[in-house]
Amino acid sequence: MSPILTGRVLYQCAKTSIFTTAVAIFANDNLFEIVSISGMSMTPALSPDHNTSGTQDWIVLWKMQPTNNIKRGDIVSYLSPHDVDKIVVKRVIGLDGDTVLLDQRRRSAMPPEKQRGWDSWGGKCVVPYGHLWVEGDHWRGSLDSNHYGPIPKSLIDGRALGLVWPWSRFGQTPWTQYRSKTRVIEGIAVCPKEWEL
Amino acid sequence: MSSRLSYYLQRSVRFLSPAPPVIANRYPRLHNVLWVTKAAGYALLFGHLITTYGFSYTGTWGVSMLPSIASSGDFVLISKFYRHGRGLEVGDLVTYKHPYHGDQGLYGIKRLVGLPGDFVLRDSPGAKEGVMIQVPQGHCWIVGDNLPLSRDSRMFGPIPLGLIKGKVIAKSQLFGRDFKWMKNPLQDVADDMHDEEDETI
Repeated sequence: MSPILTGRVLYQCAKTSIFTTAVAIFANDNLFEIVSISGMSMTPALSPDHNTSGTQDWIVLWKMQPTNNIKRGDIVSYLSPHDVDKIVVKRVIGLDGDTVLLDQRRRSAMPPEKQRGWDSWGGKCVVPYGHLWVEGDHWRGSLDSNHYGPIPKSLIDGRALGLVWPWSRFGQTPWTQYRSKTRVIEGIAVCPKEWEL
Repeated sequence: MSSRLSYYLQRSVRFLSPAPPVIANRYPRLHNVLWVTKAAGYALLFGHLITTYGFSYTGTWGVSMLPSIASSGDFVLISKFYRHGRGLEVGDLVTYKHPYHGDQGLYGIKRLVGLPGDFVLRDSPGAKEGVMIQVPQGHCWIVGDNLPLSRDSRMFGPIPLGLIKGKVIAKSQLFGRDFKWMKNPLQDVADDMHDEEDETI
C-alpha cells in the first residue's frame, strides 16, 4: 500500500479547503449569513427561552441590498453604533420620513443618565432621509434607537429571512405576527435639497 | 480491522487525487469553456476576498478633498485592514459609506478629525459660535480638506465607525503613474516650543 500522506494528497486537501473557505466567506458576505440571537431584546419573537434555559435562536439573513423594499416590521442586523464589534438584530419601526412617537414604557426601563438623553427628543422623532428607527421588541431591556437615535440605512448589514434553529421552527418567521406598540405617523421620504446626488 | 481502515484510506486518496483528463482530451471546446468559467469564478471569489479584506484601487471625483486629492483623475489605494476604525488615528484619510446614500452605493473619502471621546469644532473655524462638541462612543468626526466646498460631519454630524470601510494609503494617476504615499500630515507639537516656566502651573 503506497504512503497515504503524499505531497500530492496534501496539496489537494489544501486546495479544497482554501476554495471552500473562500466560497463560504463570499456567500457569507454577499448572500446569506446565519447569526445567533443572544440576548433578551427581541423576546418573545426571537430567543424566547434565553433567560431561562439559555437556548438561542439562529436566523438566516439576506445580505444583498438588505434595505431595498424594506418594510416596517422587518428584522435587520447592523453593527452597533456604540460598539462597532457587536452585531445587533432589531426590528424596523419607522422608515425615513416617519414620525416615531417614543414609547414611555421604554424610558422607565433606562438608567437615569440615559433617560436625560431620551427626554431630549421631546417625545417624538422625525426619521431623517436615508435612516431607520429600530427597536427591540422587549421594552424592558433593549439598546436600540431609543438610546442612539435613528441609524443610517447604509449601516444595515442584512435582513432576516427566517429561523434555522431550533429545528422545530425551521423556516418560520415568528416576528411577523407581532405588532409593535410604538406609534408611528407614516410619512414620505424626501431627500433634502443639499444632499441630492 | 486494519484492512477495512486501509480500504477506506485508499478510497479517500483516490478521491482526492486528480482524475484523468477525459474532457480535455475528447471535448476540447467544452474543456475551454469550462476552464474559462472556472477562471472567472476564481477571479470573482478571490477578487471579493482581496478587495473587501485587503486592498482596493479605485478612482475618485469631487472637490471636497482639494488639494490633497484632485477633483478628477486621481486613483487611490485603500487598505481595508483599517475598516470599522481599527488602528485609525486623527489625520488619516478614510473611506466611508455615505450616511444618506450609502445603501445606493455611494462612498466618500474624508479626513478623520475626531475619534470617540475627542472634542471637535462643530462648524468651520470662525463660523457661528465656535461650539465644541464631544464625539459620542462608537462614532467619528470626518471633515474634508476643502472646507468651503466639503459636505461632511459639520453638516451630517458624527458617523458610526461601522460606516468606515478603509484607509487611503496612496494615490496615483491612471495605471499607477505618479504614485505617492499619503502619510498622516499631523505632527506632534515640537518639544522646543515647551516653555520652562509653564511647568509651575
